[in-house]
Formats: sequence, structure tokens, C-alpha cells
Amino acid sequence: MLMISLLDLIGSIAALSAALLLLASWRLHLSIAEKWILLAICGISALVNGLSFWSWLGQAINTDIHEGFSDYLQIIQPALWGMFFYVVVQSAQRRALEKSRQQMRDIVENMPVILHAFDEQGRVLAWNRHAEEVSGFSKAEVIGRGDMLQQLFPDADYREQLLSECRNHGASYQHRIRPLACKQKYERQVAWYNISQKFPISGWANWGIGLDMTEQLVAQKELEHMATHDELTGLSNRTLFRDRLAHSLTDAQRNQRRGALLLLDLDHFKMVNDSHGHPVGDQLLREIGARLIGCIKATDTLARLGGDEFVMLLERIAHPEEAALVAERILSSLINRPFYLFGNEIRVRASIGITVFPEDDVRIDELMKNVDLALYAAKQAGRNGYHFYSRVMHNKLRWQHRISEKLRTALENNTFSLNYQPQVRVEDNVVVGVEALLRWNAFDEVPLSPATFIPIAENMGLMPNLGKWVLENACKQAAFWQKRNTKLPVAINLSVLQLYQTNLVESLMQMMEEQELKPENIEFEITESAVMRNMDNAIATMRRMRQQGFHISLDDFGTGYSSLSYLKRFPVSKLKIDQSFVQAIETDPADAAIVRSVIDLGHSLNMKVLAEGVETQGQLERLGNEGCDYIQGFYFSRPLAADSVEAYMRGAGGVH
Amino acid sequence: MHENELFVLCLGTVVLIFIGVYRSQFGRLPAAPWLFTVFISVWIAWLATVLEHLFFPTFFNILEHLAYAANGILLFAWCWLGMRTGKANAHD
Repeated sequence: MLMISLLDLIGSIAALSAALLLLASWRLHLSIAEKWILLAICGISALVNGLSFWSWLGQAINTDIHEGFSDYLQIIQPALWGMFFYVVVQSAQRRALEKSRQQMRDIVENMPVILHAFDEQGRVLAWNRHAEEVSGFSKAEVIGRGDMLQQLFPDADYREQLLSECRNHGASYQHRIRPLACKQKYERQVAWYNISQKFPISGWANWGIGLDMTEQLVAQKELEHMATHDELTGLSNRTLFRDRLAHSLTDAQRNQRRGALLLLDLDHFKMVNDSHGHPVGDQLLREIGARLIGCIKATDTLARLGGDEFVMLLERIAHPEEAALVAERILSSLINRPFYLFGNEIRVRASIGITVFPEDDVRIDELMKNVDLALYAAKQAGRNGYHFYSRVMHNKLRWQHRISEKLRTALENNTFSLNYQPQVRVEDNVVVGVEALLRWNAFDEVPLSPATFIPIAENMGLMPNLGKWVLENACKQAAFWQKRNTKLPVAINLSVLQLYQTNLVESLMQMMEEQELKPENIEFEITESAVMRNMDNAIATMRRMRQQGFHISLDDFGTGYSSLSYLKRFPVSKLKIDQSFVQAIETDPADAAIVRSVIDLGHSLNMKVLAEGVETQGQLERLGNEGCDYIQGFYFSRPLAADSVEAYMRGAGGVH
Repeated sequence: MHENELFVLCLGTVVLIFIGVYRSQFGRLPAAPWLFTVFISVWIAWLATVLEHLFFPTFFNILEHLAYAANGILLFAWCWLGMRTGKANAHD
């Protein structure tokens, strides 16, 4: 009994102490209600234990009252505990809800999009932190104000649309890009998204979010600009130019108007880059671009196609002469005012090709080809000028193009042939040699003159291979005749490129060895103009060839420089008078005088003289009278196939 | 047996079940396991009060008073521990 009483005492004191502790530490992690309930629990616990101890002491005034009071206190205890835990649960749930709300508020407030909401009068009801940052308007300045719409959206139509959407309780749209006026007096481009019609929020008539797209739009514009403009000059590039040309062509056809394309290429621009460096070249292109813009109308288009090529689209011209006037203006603006770049004075000349539409064509690619041809013609005409495209020029250049394509194929397929024209001694009509002449049946067995295709081959860079082919085949034929004991020297035309080939003599001697051919059976015909290109080198090469035993003749004498001071230095053994002098020798006294002079000159310099293109008995007699040594021409024989040469010789009286 | 003692036990048992169901919600209470122990001790006291009328009256009587005493001591211990923990988390 004593132990029980002691336990009651201890329990009572401990519970009382707990109550005191609770009172002392009011900052305990509990709500006010929880603390009061716990205080009650502690108090009742102390009282129950205390009353039990009191009864042991036998001090109870009235046992019935004591027991009844203790019973009531015991009933209150579980009720208080129940209340306590219920309050704790309620509190936990309330806190969780509040926390969830706060998180939602934080998300909405801090998400990197503009949240905006309006009521039916257009008053702003929601305006988050990002909206503040983008617009510069704080919540306090915006929330609840009906006049803010006017400040935020200056576009009256869009404002009216927004108000209409508010009155209609929401809208549904996405990526509607509209400017948002900011406090700092500039605009941000915002993509607006609205789903308030589908997901209405109580109290908000209209709500949505906005994404600030300003940077993206600027970047997009920059990308578009980069894709359509030349990086160096800032002018339109080929893509944009073609687009504008397409529009212009459509417009020209629809409205019966005329336009023009001008393609400009700087003459010798490479020299500027090579001599002054690329930075100067680049700056020059920029300044030329700026100057060209001043020569055309604002409605016209100037583009840089690449390198030093500029193209201009003249949208409206009354007649083609207007395009010529623009071209002249451009040329004079370039020539008359030099460019001063990095301390250098640079003068620029240009060539311009012009094509007019719709007359010349209405297809973009064809027009570009046309203007390119016209530019080519302008350059061929001596540069620093302009040239209109014409159908005749088109046909001529297309024909040249066809020839060049066939030339390449012919060289690969070895479809050239050599003919040999006899060279006859005047005094006894004996054949003293033959000239190898290149023949090519370009179109269905129709021969094409070398005068036509040789310049094209030169332009295409095919001459080294073609010259080599002629040399090899002529030497092969000469070796064949040599083996048959037919001493028939073969004259071969040597091109400029071959003459200046560094190892020409060595390769010739190697060929002689391979063919077992004596050099004295070969004569090289070299034109005067070829020698004059680099006379010292040419003379040195010619001397070495003579030392090896080759013969050399000066071809087409009289049509080139005909410099007498140089002639004496040339190690040649024969002069060939050009056929243009021979053909008029009977009718034109001047030509006759020239022929006589050349023959005298050749003899004076201890050279033989051969006249080309002799076709009549009269020409033969006149040349014989003037003392010409050899004759070549149709009078004796047209160029013959190799097989026919020997037969001809037998008929003509043999070979010398 | 007094009816009120049985009533107290039933009421206490209902609270005990309530604690079991919502135990995850009491996580924020300081030294929560100690507080549950406090309630368990008082519930044992209520149980012993009822059982002493049925069998082993002396044993259950001693257990009842022992549980009440433990209840007081544990309350004090919880208040002490809770005060320390609660002060640390007072800013919550």
C-alpha cells in the first residue's frame, strides 16, 4: 500500500512538473490549442495521482465526493487525449494544404512566363514576377487597374480584342505574337497563349500566359538576314536575288512592263587581292557595293553573287537604253573616282553584261545564262564596257560550247586525223616536203576548219594535249616514210605553249629516238607572234633545235610584227609568206610589192621562201618571176591523206 | 466493476486506434514516439483498472498505479525532450 501511495506521489509530482515545463516553454513546437490541451492532460494526471495519494493519507473530507471527482477526471482524460490528437491531425492537414498552396503560388509567381488575368472590365487581376521583370510594371501598379490595358497594349485593335475576350469569358488561342509595351518605353515581342475558355478559373474572366520571344525573334531575323544577305557587303545574296527576280518576272509578264538584269564583274580584281592583300580586296568590295547602290533606284535590287560579281535587277525600264544608261553610270562612277583604302589608291574597271526581260527570256536560269553570256562578250570586247545579250551571240557561244564539248571527247577518243599538203619547188615542180595539217570531222563527217576549233581548244586549255598528239602522229608518219626510203620532210606547226615548254628539245629528241627518225626530216613552223612573246627564250630554244638538226620556218610572215631587226636573230631557214598576200598578188600591186620584198628579204638573209595558198597558174607565174623558192597550195594539191601522198608524188614527178 | 472505468477504457481504445490510423500525421510533433509512449502508459493504467475487477486484483492494482506513475514521469520526460526539440524547430 505504501508503495502504491509512493507511486501516486511520484506520478503526481512528475505530471505537475510536466505541466510547469509546458508553461515555462511556451515556444514548444505546438499550436496554442495543443498546448492548452496538453496542459489539461498534465494537470488532470497530476490531480488523479494526487487524489489517490491524498486518500491514502486518509485525509479525504468526504469519500463519496472524492471518488466521484476522481471518476469524472478519469473520464475527461481519454477525451482530452482524443481532442489533442484530433487537433494535431487537423493542424498537420492544414499545414500540408497551406504548404501545397504556397508551392503553387511560388511556381506561378516564379515560372519564367508572364501570367496575366483580367476581369470582365479588363482590369488586371494577376501579374506575376516575370511579368514585372519583362514589363517593368510592378504588381502594385497593375493589379486592379482598368486603364493598364491601354499602357500595356498600345494597339487599339488588339486591346479591343482582349476586352471582347474578357466579356466572352475567355478565349482559346496559342502563339499569338503581340507587342507588350514596357514601362521603359520600349516593346517586347510576346507570344501569348490562352486556354481560359477551356479551363476557366473562378473570378478570372480571361487568363493566359505569355512567352517573351524578343530575343528569339531578333535571332530569327538575324538568321533570316544571314540566309538572304551577303556577309561581306551586306547586300542581297543569290537566294534573295532569285526570289526578287522571280517576283519581278511575274510582275513584268502580268503588267506588260520591262526590266533588266545587269551582271557586273570587276576587271582584274585578283590583282588587287594579290598586290594589296585580301583585307583591302574585301573592303574594296564593300565600297563598290555602296557605290553601286547609288547608281540604281531604291526599288531596284543589288546583290553580290560571290567573288567580284555583282548583279543588279532593274525592276522597271521604259526601253533597253535605260539599262545602258545605268551601266554607263556605273562604269563612270567606278572609273572617275578611285578608291582610297588603307593608304592605297585603287582604280577599278568593270565589265557589264545586260539582258532585258521579258524580251530575252522569262525564266530565271535562262536569264542568268543570258546575262553571263553578255558579260563574257563584254570581256571579249576588251573589258571596261557593257554588252547587251543578243540571240546571235547566244547562238555563237552555244555553238562554241558544243565545239568545246566535242573537242574534249574527240581528244579522248582519238578521232582527229592528219592531212599532208605537198610543198613544191618552183623551178622543177618537185615535191620537197609536206605540211601536216590537223583535220577533225566534228559533225557527221563534215570537217571543221582548224581556224575555228584551235582558238576554242586554246581557251579550254586543250592545246598541250592536241599539240602533242599532232607531233607524235606526224613524226610517226615521217618515220614511216623514212623507212620506205621516201625522203619526205614533214612540216609541223608548233604552238606557243609547245615552244615555251621547258624540256621541248629533250622530249623531241626522245621522240626521234623512239621513232628512229632523223631530225632533218622534221621542220617546225613557228609563227612570228609566238616568237615575239618571249623572244630570248624562243630564240634559245630554236637554236638548240637547229643544233639537233631540225629545220625551222617562220610561219604567216607578214601578218604579225615583221620586225626586221629581230628577224636577223631568228635561227630559221625558211620564210612562209601568208596566203592573204598571195591571193591578191595578181590584182593588188601593194600585195605584190610586199611579196616581192619578203622574197628579197628572205634571200638577203640567206633563207628560202615559201608562198602559201597558191591556187592559180597566174599566182604561180608571178611568184616564180619574183624568185619564190617553194609553193604550197591548191594549185598543186589540196591536203591529202597519208596514203594518197605517195601516189600523188609519183604522179607529180617524185621527191627531191 | 465501475461502468465509468469501462467507458474510459473504450474511449482510450478509440483514441489508440485513431493514433494508429493517423500516425503519419504526427510526424511534426516533437519527440512523437515519447508522446505515444505516454499515451500507451495511461491506456495500460485504464486497462489495469478494468482488469483488476476480473482477476489478479493486487497485481493489476499495482500495475494501474505503476502505469499512472509512469504516465506522469513520461509526460515530464516528453515535455523536457519536446522543449529541447521544439526550441530548435521554433522557427517552423
